[in-house]
Amino acid sequence: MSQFETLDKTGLSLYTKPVPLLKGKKIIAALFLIFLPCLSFALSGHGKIIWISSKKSPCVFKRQDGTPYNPGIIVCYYMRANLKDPVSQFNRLPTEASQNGFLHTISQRANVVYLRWGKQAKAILNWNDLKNIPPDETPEAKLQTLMEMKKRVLRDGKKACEPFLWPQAEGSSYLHKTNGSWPKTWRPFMRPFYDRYFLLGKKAQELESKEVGRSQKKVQSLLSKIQGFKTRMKTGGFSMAQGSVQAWDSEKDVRDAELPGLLRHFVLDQKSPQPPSPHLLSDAEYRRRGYFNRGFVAGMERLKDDALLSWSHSSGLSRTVGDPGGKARNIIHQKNGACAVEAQYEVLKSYGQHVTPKGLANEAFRKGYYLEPQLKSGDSIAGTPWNDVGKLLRDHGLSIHAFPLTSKNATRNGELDKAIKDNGGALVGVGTTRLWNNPAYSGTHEIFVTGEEVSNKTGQVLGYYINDTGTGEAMRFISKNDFDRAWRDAGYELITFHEKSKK
Amino acid sequence: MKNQKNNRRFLFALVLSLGACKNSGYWMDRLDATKLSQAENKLRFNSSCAHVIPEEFARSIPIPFKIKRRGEMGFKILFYPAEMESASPSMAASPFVEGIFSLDGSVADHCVTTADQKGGVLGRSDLNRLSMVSYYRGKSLLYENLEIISPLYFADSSLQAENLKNINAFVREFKRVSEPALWPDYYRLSPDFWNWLKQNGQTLPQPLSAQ
Repeated sequence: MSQFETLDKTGLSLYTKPVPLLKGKKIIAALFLIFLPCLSFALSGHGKIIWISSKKSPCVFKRQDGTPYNPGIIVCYYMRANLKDPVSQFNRLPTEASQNGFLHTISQRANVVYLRWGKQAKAILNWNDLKNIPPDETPEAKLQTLMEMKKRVLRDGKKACEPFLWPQAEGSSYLHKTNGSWPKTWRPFMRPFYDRYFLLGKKAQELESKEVGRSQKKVQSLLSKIQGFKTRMKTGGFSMAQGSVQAWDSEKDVRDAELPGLLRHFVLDQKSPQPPSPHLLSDAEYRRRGYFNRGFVAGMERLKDDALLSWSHSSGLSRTVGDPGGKARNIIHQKNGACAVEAQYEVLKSYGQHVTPKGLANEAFRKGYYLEPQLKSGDSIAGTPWNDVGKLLRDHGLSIHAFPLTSKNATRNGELDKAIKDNGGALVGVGTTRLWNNPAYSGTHEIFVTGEEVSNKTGQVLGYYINDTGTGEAMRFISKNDFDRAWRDAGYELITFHEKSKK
Repeated sequence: MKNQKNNRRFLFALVLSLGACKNSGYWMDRLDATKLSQAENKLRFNSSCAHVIPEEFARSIPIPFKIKRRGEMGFKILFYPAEMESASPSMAASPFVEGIFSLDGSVADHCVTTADQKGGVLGRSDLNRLSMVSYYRGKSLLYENLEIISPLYFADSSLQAENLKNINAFVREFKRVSEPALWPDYYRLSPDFWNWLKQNGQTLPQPLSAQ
């Protein structure tokens, strides 16, 4: 039996039960019952209590004569969360006495539940306290524990608060302009859990920043070693070729000097452009690019990848094609299943167009490119049919070409490489299980490929840079093998685009 | 001498066991090499499917079906919405689109939108308990065995001892890597197939052995 049914039977129905037809002595009792409200009105001098409910102030009670009445916020919230249409039910009660009786029953129940909430809240907060993390743990284990605590404190907190939570949290939707946020009425009960959640989050951020800083230091020391090595190689080569000591005078002269070219192409390729190094970012930039959005392990993997890429760039082994760093500025974390719309938003932004995610989602919905069916549960799950991916780009003045590429590898990857080289990127469909390394996510997903890493020696593609609105990660490097597997899972979907004037 | 022998044996065992370890990429490649997986991928671009299957929808495991009087033999597959944001728990909602395809061309590839567009959320995906290796190992074995047993089902052939091994493997992996919330839908797709498995001595989970 649900809480509502229990309450309805023991609470409301007690006061709304219809009076049956009576005979004899019972008539006197019935008359007494009829006149009782008048009697109670006369005695109280106030009349019935009226519950005036508005969106701004949902818990305002007043007597008929206008004097305020306060049954307490806990009672009001408890009724709101547990009774169906409580305002009209309450206002239908015939007398103030019956209303008081009803409120008395409800407040007793609400108090019991509130006391239970207090005990549970204490236990939950104790369990998810920072003190419980052993100080000698590794940063990785600490962060893992913090992440678990963050999840746990909200999940368990919400469960404990449930008897007071109304209305339900809204879904996240561009069309309905909802943000998936929780109602303000949850605050009095959820506040201690929110506070703890943010505290844990802050601590986790501190740890992440430390790890980022440590990684930066390592990369910088590695780079300075490489620089030293390069200088030694150059000076050695120079002196051998020219028989001059000029090169030893200053490091600057050595760098700027015209070298015979023997060593230049041996270990390092000075002609290869030095791309923006991902390792020299500010802490805020790391956060904006969502390094740790898939968890600590994935974040550390990204830092390692960055270090490797920096080393590879400095040694002249590989170069970046495209401008993944510049395009990382347009990253957003999508709502609902709007990945195709958001990926197109990023493309349009990279072409300097003034668009918003919400505006594009509404435009796509209007034109039938974007579906957002509301489920019975109240949630809505969205998506863009494959046929319609890219149409927003076309409508905003770009030429598009959609490939379901099932042809040979060379052609397939060739098309993508050409798109990156000529137009700075392409939209690609991938399997989420493979992209996010988690079997729980089994859909397909549209991402924006913003660049690629190419070997200087062989010209082979080593991997791709992607902006992923599903996780909010920008400029994530993914090796070619992993990328190809994720791409294959979505049937090698590819949308290339370019400005209409450009062929 | 004896110690040296033992060491050699240990090293040999270590090499063998390391050789047996396959990463998830190996199993992904093996899964993608199956004809079933390739046909599934192709189906999404079919003209009747491309405008009804949203990009973000997940794809179920294919289930064989046959309609004897029409001579149709093929596979049915479900496309269903799955919550995409990695920050929230993954949810699967009831299927919206049913895809039909065959490996031999006896049925034209096409998609049908299911009547109940406003399906309910089926709940948290049960697959997050699996590692990537065990998930893809299970899935590739499931597809490989399904490719072997589906012709037997289509032909109504009597089972040989060696086929029993394939059927056991299919049922075992199906229970492991399929989404339990979709089991009633899997049954609905082809009751005849599940009854055939049951007749061949397979113990199926309740929603699959219903009716």
